[in-house]
Amino acid sequence: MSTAASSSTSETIAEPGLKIKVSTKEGEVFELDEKVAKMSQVIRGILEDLGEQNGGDDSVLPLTQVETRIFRKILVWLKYHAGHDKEEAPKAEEDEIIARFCEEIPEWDQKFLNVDQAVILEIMLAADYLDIKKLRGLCCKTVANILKTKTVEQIREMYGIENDFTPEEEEEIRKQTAWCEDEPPRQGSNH
Amino acid sequence: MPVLPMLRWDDLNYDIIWDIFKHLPTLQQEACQRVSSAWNSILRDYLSKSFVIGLGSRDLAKWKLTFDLLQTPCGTRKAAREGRTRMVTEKTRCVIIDFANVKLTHCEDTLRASERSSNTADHLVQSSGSSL
Repeated sequence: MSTAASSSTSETIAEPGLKIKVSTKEGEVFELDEKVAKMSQVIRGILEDLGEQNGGDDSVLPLTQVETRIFRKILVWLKYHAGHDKEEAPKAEEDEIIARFCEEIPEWDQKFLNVDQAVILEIMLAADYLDIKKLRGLCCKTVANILKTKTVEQIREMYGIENDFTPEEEEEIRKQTAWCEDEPPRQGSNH
Repeated sequence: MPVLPMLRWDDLNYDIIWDIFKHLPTLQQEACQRVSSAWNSILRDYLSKSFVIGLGSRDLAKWKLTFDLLQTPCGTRKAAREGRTRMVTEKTRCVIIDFANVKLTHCEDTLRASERSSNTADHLVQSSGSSL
């Protein structure tokens, strides 16, 4: 049982089966189990384009946008989820929306993403590049959870965002969104 | 542990930012429009395409109509048929009603205050494109 905090650096997989070699931005080569590699839709697509002839030879798929230190973390996530996730049927749009409101981030993933926010953003970008939708979604939700606790000023400071509104624009937007400052009424109250 | 360069928000692409905003409660989405012009633009774009079609509108009359429709399951189904919202389940209906309560209360309070203090109510109604 691996933990979210661990970050195994050994990429030599003992089990038999097709192995996929990929290289990071720095040129470090990792050998992945086929099941793990195909959790990235980008790798899956490349393999399908190649007719899955890659695994039998020394071909290496270059992942030029992913740094080794981030790829190692993503690999921890991929290996855990390759062993724990069940196959899920695609959800209907409405179910997706409900899930967005109601589903919590699983405990293992919370621990995995309990890192500096800069690292979360880098994992998010790498997951986007590799097209690992579930990981990307978890990163987005984690960042959103951080945003929920911040004021507008704190968000600007956190991300180094300049307030580029003119005073008139700021006042207009403040008026438009003034209702956000109200306390939500208790459900069932009359209006 | 090595010190990592802080990744700036600007480094994220539009799709990712949109996906982050999707996970925020609608109340927070509205509030985040105040962060910068870029956030304002993205969020207005997002809210205008919001899954709650009627409630994404700034038109007070549409808000009130949608809110009234959502008060009962029957009304919710009617709202869905009319394309005001695609949300028809009880769980999501409650979320929307909570949200709608906040905005309507504010709008109506603002309107009443305006009527009391000056003759600006007409202007407010005109600017919202409605008459209550």
